[in-house]
Amino acid sequence: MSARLAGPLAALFAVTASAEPGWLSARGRVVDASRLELYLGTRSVGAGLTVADRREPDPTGPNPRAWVGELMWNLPDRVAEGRLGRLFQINQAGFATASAFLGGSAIVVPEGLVDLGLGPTGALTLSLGGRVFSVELGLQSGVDFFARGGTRLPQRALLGLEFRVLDFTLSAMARLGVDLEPGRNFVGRGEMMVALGWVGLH
Amino acid sequence: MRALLFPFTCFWGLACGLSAPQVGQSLSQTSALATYEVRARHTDLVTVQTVFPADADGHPMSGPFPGVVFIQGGAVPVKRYLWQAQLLAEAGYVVALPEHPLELAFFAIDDGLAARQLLVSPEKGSVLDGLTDPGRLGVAGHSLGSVVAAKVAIAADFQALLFEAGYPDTADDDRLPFFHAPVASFAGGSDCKAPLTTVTEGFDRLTGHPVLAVFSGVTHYQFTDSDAEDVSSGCQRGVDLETAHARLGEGLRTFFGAALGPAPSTGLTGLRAIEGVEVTAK
Repeated sequence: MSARLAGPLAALFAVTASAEPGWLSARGRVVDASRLELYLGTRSVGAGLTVADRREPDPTGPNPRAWVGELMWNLPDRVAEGRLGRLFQINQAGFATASAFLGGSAIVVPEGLVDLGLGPTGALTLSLGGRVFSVELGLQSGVDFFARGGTRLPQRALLGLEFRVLDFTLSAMARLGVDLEPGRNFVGRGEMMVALGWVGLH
Repeated sequence: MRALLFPFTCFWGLACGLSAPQVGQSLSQTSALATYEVRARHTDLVTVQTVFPADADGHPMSGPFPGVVFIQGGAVPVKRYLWQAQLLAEAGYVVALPEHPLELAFFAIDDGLAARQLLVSPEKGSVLDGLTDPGRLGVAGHSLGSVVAAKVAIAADFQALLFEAGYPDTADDDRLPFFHAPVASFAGGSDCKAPLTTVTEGFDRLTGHPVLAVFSGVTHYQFTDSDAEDVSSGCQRGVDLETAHARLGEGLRTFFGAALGPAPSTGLTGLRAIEGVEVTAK
């Protein structure tokens, strides 16, 4: 990709984001081990933890599942958001592995118009590749109900790359989308994120 | 650093709260600048530059004054329109310029509404407190910003709308007729980015009694603080930047003075009296 194209693309992805999690849950392949991940993005910092269900070493058994929790802090907007839910691997792990995430999110606006947002969130992610290198393609959606009134529908598309060396992962992800809200104009959203993960939790 | 430490400092009661200055930064003997943070769309912080009538120390003069929300052009930083804001502030207006993500107002159209809300209900004790008359508010935008300015004007209660080197979105053609306040379109006669023919076509779609003021020899970027882009792209200007600013400034004062005055109008007669300006009225 030429530098001329990379600049505007990076800028486009760095538009603006509310402090959204949804990075750790955007993996098509649910690793059997649990995972701890730290995030540094164009607008946010945060951490996430996956706790995988215990499984018998039975290849015919159910696909992996995990609990996922993430907490993000948006630096320029000074807003926090947490997300908790279940991540289900839909098919047997292979070159193309898909997962679904269902959970809830909580948004805390601590200053200015102090507010609290709660709502369900979901995601579908397709992972192309293997355990060492994969490309993640995701769609995310949700509904945020705010205590001060108002309902927001965030819609996102995600592209990610993940490398794994031993028990460590390095991921680069980009997410673009819009927030829709009845009676208001849309707002563009985007963020680029680098994640450092440890898959050594057992 | 403040943003990074905020969760900890705010917990202990320090560095908590949005920026709401109590004194401005002096721009001239009669105007000052203050930077606000406004919470919009539930979670977003919008930075709004405000320029207002003030003494030489940056303290606001006694209001209330009419207000103007200004929407920046595409990829043009807000600070490049401060000359317009200062000129209006020195003429007795409070001007709010919201900063949009990526300098593209289209990504966050409602930031203009957040700026309006700031003018109408600023934080108590801050420099804008009681300074703006909520019944005399105008909205203006340059280039892409004028497209968004029209959307903002439709969405809230404004008493004037000014297009600068721009025109309304065709998607708003059905709604703009319901905007009954004075509307003006300022066009540059030598504009290479928003050619006069295009601006005129946009003007022709406006209903009611708008005015089109064509500033002879003025280029697209002469609406900002520099016409360097025009020069570098080979766009021939007909007047120098100083002359362009003098005429545009007079146009601004004339239009908003008439539109936000006691007997609202487009200031047609005053606009026609400006040197180098050709005015068409519907």
